[in-house]
Amino acid sequence: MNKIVGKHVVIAALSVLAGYAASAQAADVVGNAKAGQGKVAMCIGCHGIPEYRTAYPEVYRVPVLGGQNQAYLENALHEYKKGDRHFETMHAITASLSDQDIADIAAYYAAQTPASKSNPDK
Amino acid sequence: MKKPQLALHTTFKAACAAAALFGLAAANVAHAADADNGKVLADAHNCAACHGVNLNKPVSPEYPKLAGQHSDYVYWALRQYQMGNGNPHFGRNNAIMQAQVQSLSQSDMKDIAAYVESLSGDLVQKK
Repeated sequence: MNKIVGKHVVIAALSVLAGYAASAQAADVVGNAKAGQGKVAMCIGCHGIPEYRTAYPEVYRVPVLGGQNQAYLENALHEYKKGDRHFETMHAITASLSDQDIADIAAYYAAQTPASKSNPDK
Repeated sequence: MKKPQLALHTTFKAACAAAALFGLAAANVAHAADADNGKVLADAHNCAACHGVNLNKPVSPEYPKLAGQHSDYVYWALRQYQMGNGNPHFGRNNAIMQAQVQSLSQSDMKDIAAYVESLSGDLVQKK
């Protein structure tokens, strides 16, 4: 009986630790939309042009990013960087971004609304 | 001698034009994405369970808002999920989405994509 209880306590403790480690990693980097404004020069070339299409491996309009969820954008950028999502252009661009850059860019796009002004830096 | 040949030629040209027009019309009917059918499919596959009301209020910030997204991008993303791990060059690896799209045909995915684009939500295009 004690053995079984002890095992569960250990598992619970390990789970808490694992959860803490995962959240601690995420908590280190906080996205800043204002900082992101100066980091989107490479994004605008495609995502800032209405109806801009990419040609390979399929012709499609590149996705609209403004107003998208910040966590989703951040994950997508990390996945492109790591190679879990496949698109050569995005892989090349994200390879040059730090975790902080990615968080800032995600925050910048997530904060956009219909009332947002165009990027004053561009 | 020349006249009947010319008449035949004109008839042939007209027949070709008619055939081309008919073919074009038939092709358009066959490939036009049907947003209404897309809504039926989106409801049947319960997209809103994760992507939220009107596909614009995801239940987790890790899931994307879809309403208003470009249909051709959505179609390509759905196809990538269908390829999944089986295609190391283009597949998208996501267990939930891979399971969701397995039974869809390409025309189903086009219909869903058309429905997604027809919705309006928070997505905006800004520099």
